[in-house]
Amino acid sequence: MSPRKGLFVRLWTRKLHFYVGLYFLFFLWLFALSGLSLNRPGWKWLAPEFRTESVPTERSIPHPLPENDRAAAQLVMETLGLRGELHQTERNLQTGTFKVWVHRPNRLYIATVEQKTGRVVELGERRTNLWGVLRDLHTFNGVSTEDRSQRRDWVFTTIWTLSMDALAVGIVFLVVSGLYLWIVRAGANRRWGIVALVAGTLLALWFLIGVPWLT
Amino acid sequence: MYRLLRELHLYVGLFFSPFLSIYAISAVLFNHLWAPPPAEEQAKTVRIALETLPPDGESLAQARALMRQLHLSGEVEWIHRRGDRWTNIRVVRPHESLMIEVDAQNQEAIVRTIPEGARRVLLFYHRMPGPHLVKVRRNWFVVRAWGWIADATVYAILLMTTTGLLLWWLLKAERTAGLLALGLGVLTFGGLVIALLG
Repeated sequence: MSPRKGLFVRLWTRKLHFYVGLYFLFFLWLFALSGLSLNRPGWKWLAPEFRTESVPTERSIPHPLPENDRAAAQLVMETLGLRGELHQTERNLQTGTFKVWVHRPNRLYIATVEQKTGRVVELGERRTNLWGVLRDLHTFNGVSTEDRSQRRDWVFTTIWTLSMDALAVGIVFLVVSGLYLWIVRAGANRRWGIVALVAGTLLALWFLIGVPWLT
Repeated sequence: MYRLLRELHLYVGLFFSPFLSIYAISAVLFNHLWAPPPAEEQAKTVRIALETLPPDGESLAQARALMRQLHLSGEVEWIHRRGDRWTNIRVVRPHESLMIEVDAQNQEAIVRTIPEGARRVLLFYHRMPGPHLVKVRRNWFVVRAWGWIADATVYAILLMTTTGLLLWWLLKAERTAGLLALGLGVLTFGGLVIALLG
């Protein structure tokens, strides 16, 4: 690479390092603080609080409910005007009720409907405080590694998931561009940088490879 | 001042870059379920005779004593006693999970090991220690140590973003373009959060 071209690449890598970091600043703060709250459930000041209230409703669901759980849940959501990610459904054969959980990062609706009559037995709304919202945003992707039957069905969940992916790509870019800028820094004493990088890498490798190998 | 901020930003960033990469890559694996489920079909079961039976109860100390006898390590997730005969203990490690069934009548332990696969190692670390099982969590030194790393990564992000902001602000030539990037980020972030919260 010619010196002029090298200078151009270095300049633009530095600019992009700034711009990408600034663009994702609030995303980074959100995921960092919510990560701390998730990892420190014992710290009271970071803990979410929940309160569930009953929402009065006169509406009833067109019945009989579809046999398909997803279709039935969508009918309940449309009729009651519940917008969010369909989280879970449950048919109780003993009580003859159909239960739907609809999730948004700041609230969870739980609707219980009598299957035969379409009567809404109960509509509950669980709200949370700031830390609860932050935690929900951290994990809100509409799927679960434990329950693979779940799938994303709300457009904003998909957009939010894509923005999380973009943040992940942004972080990798910040890491790689930061490494590049450090390597090409003219006349720099790289000793302490090498120490920091090697120490971090060895520690990470110990967790990723060493622990599975040793245990 | 500029030099000090830059050095701080650089060295903290270099040390934490592998951890940031782990969190970033595992987040994408979570979002798209790109890590296969545990390989149940490759599970292995072994029966091990116990020299001494663990005392009655469901405490973590009892589970740990049993694991020492079996030469097993890992994070105990739960202990469940079923009647007088059986005690079940679930243990997780980055690459596998273990289900230990203690048969008090035959004085033996049946250990079922389920491999988790390489990609799930990243998922393990992303969600550890996590908000669940507060009473027993961090009972294995690896999870305890990773918990400190996870906390330190948060502080590192806060430090790097703050120093990054200051470094950008000190470069007058980059202020306008930087403000534009920051403004776009705020708009995207704010718009998404408002849409999600409704």
